[in-house]
Amino acid sequence: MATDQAGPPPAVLEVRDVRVTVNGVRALGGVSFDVPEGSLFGLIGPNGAGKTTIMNVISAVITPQHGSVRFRGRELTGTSTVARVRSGILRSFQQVRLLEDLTVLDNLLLGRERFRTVGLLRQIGGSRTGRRQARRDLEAAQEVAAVLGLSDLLHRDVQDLPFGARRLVDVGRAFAAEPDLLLLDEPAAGLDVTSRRLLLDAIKQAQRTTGATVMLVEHDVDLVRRACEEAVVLSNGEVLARGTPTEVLADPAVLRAYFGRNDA
Amino acid sequence: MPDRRSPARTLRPVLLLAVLAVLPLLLDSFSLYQATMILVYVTAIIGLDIVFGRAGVLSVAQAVFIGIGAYTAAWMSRTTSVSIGVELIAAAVVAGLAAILVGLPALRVSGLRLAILTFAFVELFQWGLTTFASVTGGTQGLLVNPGGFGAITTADPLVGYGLAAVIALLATWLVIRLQRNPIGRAMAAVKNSNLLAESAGVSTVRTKLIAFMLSGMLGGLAGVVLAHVAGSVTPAGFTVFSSLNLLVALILGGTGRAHGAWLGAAYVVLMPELFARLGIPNAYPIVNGAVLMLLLVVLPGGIASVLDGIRDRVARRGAAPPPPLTPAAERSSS
Repeated sequence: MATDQAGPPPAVLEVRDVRVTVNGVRALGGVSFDVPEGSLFGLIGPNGAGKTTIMNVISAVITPQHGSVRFRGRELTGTSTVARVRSGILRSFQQVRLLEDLTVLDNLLLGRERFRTVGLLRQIGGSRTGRRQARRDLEAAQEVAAVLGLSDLLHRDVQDLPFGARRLVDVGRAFAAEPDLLLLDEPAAGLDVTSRRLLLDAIKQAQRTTGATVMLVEHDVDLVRRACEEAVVLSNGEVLARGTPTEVLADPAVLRAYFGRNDA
Repeated sequence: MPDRRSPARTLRPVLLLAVLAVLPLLLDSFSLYQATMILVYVTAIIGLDIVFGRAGVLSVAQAVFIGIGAYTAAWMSRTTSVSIGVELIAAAVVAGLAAILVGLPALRVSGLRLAILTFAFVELFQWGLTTFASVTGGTQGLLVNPGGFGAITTADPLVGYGLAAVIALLATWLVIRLQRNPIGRAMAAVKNSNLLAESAGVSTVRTKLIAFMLSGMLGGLAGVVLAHVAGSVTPAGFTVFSSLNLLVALILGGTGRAHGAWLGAAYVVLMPELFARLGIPNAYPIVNGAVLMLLLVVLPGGIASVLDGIRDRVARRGAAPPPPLTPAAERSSS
């Protein structure tokens, strides 16, 4: 139970002085921030601020030239994307990436891949362990589908779904993996205002249900203000401000970067 | 998972088994040989479908794996007195290992560059077959002694047919199992993109090598049956053109669908014969090319996609309309 004496929650992710240069252009120039355990954390910034680059660094899609990323106190530098996924760091993409020929259920079950321990022959031939694992996977996928409102669509091919539902499947795949840390890269991109609100509600509900820490990368400040407890603002590859969304959005430097305004 | 198996899905394998069982009673010896060749092709094409249709890795090395199986069977039939079962196991192991070797470059390169690399393996295999003539018989190849189980040997065309049918059915079962299996989903993810696969925790290295291994093993099994049915093996049967023929059959039939391999196999075995019977055998390559171009444009899913479309339309008729696509967040909040 939380008391007045209790300090801030421990950081599940510590990003320290991360620098990335791509083709001679500085993408990140020494970014540092902490993501508190169990939070819905916002990472905002205008286009080209370096938001997706830091996501790619955390998920090992790109290797930084300098700096470190620690997950639950463990240094991640040098580990692969798959190793990070197996340790509980999942992500979604700005562009929806799905198994187009397969059903919603298949796509959600793909998220369970990080728990795969059964060998090839047992997978193909069938075994008690394999069947047990398949049952667990199915339950987890159905649970996520229920939270995200996909239960009725489980056996529909994803290619037949409208964009909003496809977004939910994309996010659902990551939640089905029971992530400790989930990185969502502009999950509401391409959605209308109503759909954005619905998606956000679904994400918040899924986060509450799973207890995952969620890092929401967005350029829509309104979305972050309504969803997140804490946020970091990136601009030109550097941290511009950090704090609660209300605090950072009142920061003159942030207003300048976003709106070109000097007043608070 | 709730059992969504429809009566039609249960009936399909029973129907297939019945047709395969009755077919030899209705066919003359040449037609039986053709039916056997279709079954051999089915196994080989399913192998190619696993690596290309499911995992999205373009390979033209399938003929190598069939060749390895065929030469393993030929060599063992001449130098040992083991049953054909041992030949099948040996061929599957050797071809599977060779396929892993061929698959190693797939971990670094992809697309057309990988296809060219697999082409290099075909050329290397051809060079090996003609260079090590003391083992392979060189350009003349090797005669294959009939093999079997005790008194039942492949000298009887019915045995060759039965063996080809059993292996083709096993290959079909395998590929259907893969469809809704974690390894099948992993292959689909790799086919989509390495980024998606790895971000879901799929090891792209392991998945691609498994795809190559399964592809090679099925190629090897097809090769054993081919060797025994044909009675001889020569390098000419395992060139890059043989691989391309399989690729054409797969694309015509339909990738990623078990019945696509059956349709493709039937097409490439029966169509040349049909043109020969019509007295215009030289027209086949021209018509075949036109059909391939037309299908690629009009039906990228192959002939199987037409059947699937009909099946889906029939299934939809009378069925309840799909549920509305309202996100449940909205429903739950209402």
